[in-house]
Amino acid sequence: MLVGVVAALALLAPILPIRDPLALDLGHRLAAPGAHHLLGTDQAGRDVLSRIIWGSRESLQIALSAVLLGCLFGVTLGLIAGYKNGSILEMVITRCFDVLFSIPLLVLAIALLGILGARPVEILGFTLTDKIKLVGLIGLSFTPALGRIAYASALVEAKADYVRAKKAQGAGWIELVFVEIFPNAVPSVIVQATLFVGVAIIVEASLSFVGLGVQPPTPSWGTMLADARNYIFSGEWWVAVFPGLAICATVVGFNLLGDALRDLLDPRGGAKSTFV
Amino acid sequence: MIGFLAKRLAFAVTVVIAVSFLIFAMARLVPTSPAYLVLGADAGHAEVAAFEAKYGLDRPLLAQYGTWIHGVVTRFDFGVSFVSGRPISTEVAETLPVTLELILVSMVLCLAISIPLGVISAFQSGGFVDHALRVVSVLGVSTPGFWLGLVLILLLSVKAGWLPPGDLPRLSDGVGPHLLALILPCFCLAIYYTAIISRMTRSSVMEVLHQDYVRTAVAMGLSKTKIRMIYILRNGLIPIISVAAMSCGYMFGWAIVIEQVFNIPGICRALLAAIFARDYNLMQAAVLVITLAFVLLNFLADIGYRLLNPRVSW
Repeated sequence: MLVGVVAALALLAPILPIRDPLALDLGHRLAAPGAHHLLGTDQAGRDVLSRIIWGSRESLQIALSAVLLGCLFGVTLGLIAGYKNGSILEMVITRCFDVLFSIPLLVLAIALLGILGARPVEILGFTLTDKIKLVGLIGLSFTPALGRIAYASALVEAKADYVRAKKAQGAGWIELVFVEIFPNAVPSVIVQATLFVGVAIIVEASLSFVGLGVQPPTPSWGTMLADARNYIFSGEWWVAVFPGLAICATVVGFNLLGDALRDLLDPRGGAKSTFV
Repeated sequence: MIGFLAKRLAFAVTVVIAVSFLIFAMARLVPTSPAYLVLGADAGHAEVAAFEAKYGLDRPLLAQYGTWIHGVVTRFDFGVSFVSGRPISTEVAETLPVTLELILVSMVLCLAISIPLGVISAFQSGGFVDHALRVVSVLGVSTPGFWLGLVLILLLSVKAGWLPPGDLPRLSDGVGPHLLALILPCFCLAIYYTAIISRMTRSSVMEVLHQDYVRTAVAMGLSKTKIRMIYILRNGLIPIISVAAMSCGYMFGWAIVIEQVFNIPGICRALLAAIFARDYNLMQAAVLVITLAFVLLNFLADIGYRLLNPRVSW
């Protein structure tokens, strides 16, 4: 439900009857919530409501891409490792997961974002914008957890009769892993991935808040809160309160969705609540 | 057991070296030399070359790393900050205890709230506390700690004036103000893990509740309190210890944001400041120290779990 509302608002932002999130209105700086601006305006007179709605696009885009990226790497590696049980490949992949698990990834991500800088950088012919850097680093931090889930189900499924039957029919390992085993790993991965979307939104907001994520003037929940920090002492509470409420509502939505999916798809409760 | 410890230790050391080398190398591969930071952007080639020679920045990467890590391990010498010119070891010695205190107090607070909450909701599953916990824990994992910090500063500091909005007075300047200033940041840092650990406590205790040895104890007529305290809690809380230790490690990441919000002079804020000042020497030192703490906590979590739970083989 909540997720649906937020997604709809994000998708419909360009056609909704709201103000331009970047339009400056210096005559109405820090205006309190009222009929003119429902949730007030910020220090440059920009409409808070419209910035929150446009900000949801950034947040959702980054969070969803990061989780998809994590799934892509994690699930592929995890399935292969689980299927190739006992091989060197399995050892290498599971070791990599172990290493990623034992690193303070958030700290490392912050340091790497700092070194790469806020401006787009070119590496090996690719231009890395602020968003791509965020997606890559957040996605990487989700890889080991998603990978281990896929690995665990592949370990079980690889020994199942239907896989062995397919193998006897002469199916290659790529077909076995991605056509036969993959669909059975999907439920538990999806539950975890949904919960991770919530985590990703909070991480993105935190990174943007300290100035290492989405760069101004693009409206994002984290950068809005960073600006708002200066105004909580002077009484303009709305610039600080509403973007945070938007984060909370969205993340609660994804957590509830994850819980519901778990009850639906994975009654054993395989996926765990997580922390980055 | 010795074999396990040795293997685990070797793994931990490898991880620390790999992470510190990664950061060291990345910082060195950045196109602009730190010389320009110190000497100014319009420094001449000769000056830059002299600066790089002085700090050994013109040497091969591996040689630089070797010298640096050797200094760190043997003399606790992280080099000199390019920005402030002070030895980084002093900086680390000043800021690390602040962050450690912040995280430790947060974890104590977290356990003090989450364990009773989790245990009660497991014993009275379906009761009021259980339902309340369900709601509170979803809210807890969904609220960004730094935003909660802003809101609480607004409500409790600016509006009500009960708690200081930030800064951490030294302990030597009085215990009262020091503790008062710790309340908000620790609460904001703790809330996420409080939600997670209370849920984990609940499910862990619930699991033990249905074990055969508990049924046997009931059948033998042991008192309810005795069963709960000795049989259930002892076994149910074992997994929580390793989760708590790992959470302490993760808190270093969130502390970066929390220290920023509350203006706390810890190593995480120093790391962030170093990033923005492009003070790579200080940055790599902070990352190394935090990684070390993180890996150490994971190591202790692993050992503690195995010590307390003899069923797990070494």
